[in-house]
Amino acid sequence: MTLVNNRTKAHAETAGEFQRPPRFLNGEAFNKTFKWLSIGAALFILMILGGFFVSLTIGAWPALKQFGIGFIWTSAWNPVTEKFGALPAIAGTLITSAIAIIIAVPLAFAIAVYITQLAPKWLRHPLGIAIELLAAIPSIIYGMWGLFYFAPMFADYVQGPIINLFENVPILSTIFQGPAIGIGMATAGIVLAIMILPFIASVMRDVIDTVPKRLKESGFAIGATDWEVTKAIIIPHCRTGLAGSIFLGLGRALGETMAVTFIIGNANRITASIFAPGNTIASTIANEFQEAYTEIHSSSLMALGLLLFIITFIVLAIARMMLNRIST
Amino acid sequence: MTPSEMLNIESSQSTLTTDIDITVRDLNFYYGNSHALKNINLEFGKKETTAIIGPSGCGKSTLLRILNRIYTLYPGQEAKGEIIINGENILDPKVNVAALRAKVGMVFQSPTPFPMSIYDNIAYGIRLYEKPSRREMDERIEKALRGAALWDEVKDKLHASGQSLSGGQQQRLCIARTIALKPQVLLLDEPTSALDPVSTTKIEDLLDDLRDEYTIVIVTHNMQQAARVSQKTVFMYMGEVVEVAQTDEMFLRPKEERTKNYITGRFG
Repeated sequence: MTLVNNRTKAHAETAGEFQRPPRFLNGEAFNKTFKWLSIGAALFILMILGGFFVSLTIGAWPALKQFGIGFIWTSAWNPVTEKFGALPAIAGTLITSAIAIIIAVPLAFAIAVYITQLAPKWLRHPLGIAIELLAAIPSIIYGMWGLFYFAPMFADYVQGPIINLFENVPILSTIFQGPAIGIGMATAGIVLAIMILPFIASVMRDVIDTVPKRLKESGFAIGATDWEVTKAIIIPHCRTGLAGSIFLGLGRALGETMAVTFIIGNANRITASIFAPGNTIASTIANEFQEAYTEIHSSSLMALGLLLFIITFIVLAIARMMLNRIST
Repeated sequence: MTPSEMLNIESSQSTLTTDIDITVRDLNFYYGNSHALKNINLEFGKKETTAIIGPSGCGKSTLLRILNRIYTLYPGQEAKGEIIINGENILDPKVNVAALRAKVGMVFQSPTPFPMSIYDNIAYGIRLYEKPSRREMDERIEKALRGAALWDEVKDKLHASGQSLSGGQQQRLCIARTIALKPQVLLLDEPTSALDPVSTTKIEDLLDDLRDEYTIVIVTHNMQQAARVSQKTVFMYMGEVVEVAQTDEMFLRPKEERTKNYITGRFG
C-alpha cells in the first residue's frame, strides 16, 4: 500500500519535471491560431483563383450576353460600331504560340540532351545556371530588344530574302507575304520562342535526368550511338514528362503580354501571312484597356481575358498532370 | 565443414582445356586518380563460363565493364594495357565500339528492358546492324527468345510492352536481346541480384544452356552461383587478381589464404 503510494507520488513528480514552463508562444491557444493562420493562407490562394474567375466573368457578362458564344468566332473588333469578336486575337495567340513552340521545343530538347548526356561534367552546372538566368530576364526587355534590334535585323536579313525566295511558289508565297517591316506574328513568335526556351529546357533536363543510368547503358551496350539511345530509349521513357514541359512552355507563350505587344504590330485582322502584323489576346487587352470608354468595349476585353484565363488554366493543368506522373 | 561441403560440389568435373577467347595483359584501370585495377593478367577460354568473385569494391564489375568498353561513356575513367579479342586490342581507340559491343554483349544487374514492345526490344538491336526481311526478323526474334527460354511465356504477347513482364522475364528478355546480335562473348554483371529465387534458378539453368555457344563472363556475389554455373573462377581482391582456377579446384582446394577466407565467409 505504501509502496504503491510512493510510486504514484514519484511518477507525479517526474511528470512535473518534464513540463515546459508556460510561455505565450507555446500555449495551446497560440498553437491553434498558428494552425488556422496557415490554413487561412492556403485558402487565400484558392480564393484569389476563384475570385479572378468570378470577377472576370462578371466583367465579361455584358459582352457575353450581347454577342453570345459567337464572340469566339467573330472577327469584327470595332469600338465605333460596338461590334466585338475574339477570333483575330485568338488566331494571333495560337499562331504566335505555335511558332514559338515549333522553334523552342527542338532547341530546348537539344540543350537538355546536351546538358544531361553529352556535356563534360564541369560544363553542366554553369550551363544550367545560364538557362535559369535567361528565364530571369524581364519580358519588357525582350520586348525592347525585339523591337529595336531584332525586328530591323529580321526584316533585312530574313524576311526580305524569304519573301523574295518564295515569291512565285504557291502556298508559301501566301504564308511569307507582305512588306518586310520586321514586326509581325513571326517576329513575335521567335521572341516568344527565346522567352520560353529556358523554361522548357530546364524542365526537360530534370525529366531526362530521371532515366535510369543502367537503362541508357544497356542501349550503349548493344552498340547504339548517342542519338540512337536518345531516340529509342530517352524519348519514349520520358515522353509524358517531355510533353508536360512543352505544355508548360505553351502556357507561358499564350499569356505573354509585354514583349508581344511591342513587336506583333497590333493589327486586328486575320491573314494567312505569318509576316503580317497581328494581335494576341494579351496584346489586345494591353493596348486597348486605357481607351475602352464604353461598357461593351471594356466588357469585351474582360471576355478576352476570361478566355485567356481558361485556355492557359487548362494548358497548365495538363502540363502539371503530365509532369506529376514523372516524379512518382 | 570444408568449403566443398558447404557449396555442395562434386569434384568429378573434368579439367577443361579450351582455346583462349579473351586475353587481358597488364591491365590497369583508373577512376580519376584512384587506381582501381592493378596489373591484371587473365585469359578467358572460348565457350567457357568464367565467374569473377570477390568482395564489394574489389573491381570485378570494373573489369567486366572494360571488356565492352562501356566505361568510356564516363569521362575520367581510363584503362591502360591490352585486351585481345580475335587478335585485336580492343582498348585501341580506333576500335569501333558499336561493332565491339555487338560481339561482346552485356546484361546488367537489374533488368533493363527498353521502353518498347517485347518484339521491338529484340528487333531494335538487330536493326542497328542489319536490315532483315520481315520474315527473317520474326525468325531471329523467335530464335533469340527460345535461346533465352522465354518464347513459351511471351509468344502470344510479343507486342506487349517489355516493361510489363515480371523481373525474371525482363532479365531473360535482356539476355534474348543480347544473344540476338549473335555475340561471341556474354558479360553478365550480377544478373540475378535483383531477382527472386525461382527466377534466379531459371537464369542459372539458362546460363548452363548458353555455355556451349558463348564465352561467358559472369560477375557474382553469390558463391553458390559461381560454383553452379562456371568452369573457371577468378577471385579478385582490392583491385588485384588473387587466384584463378578451375571452379571445383578453387572451391575444394583454394591455394591462397585470402581466397579460402573469402569463400568460407570469413570476410567480404
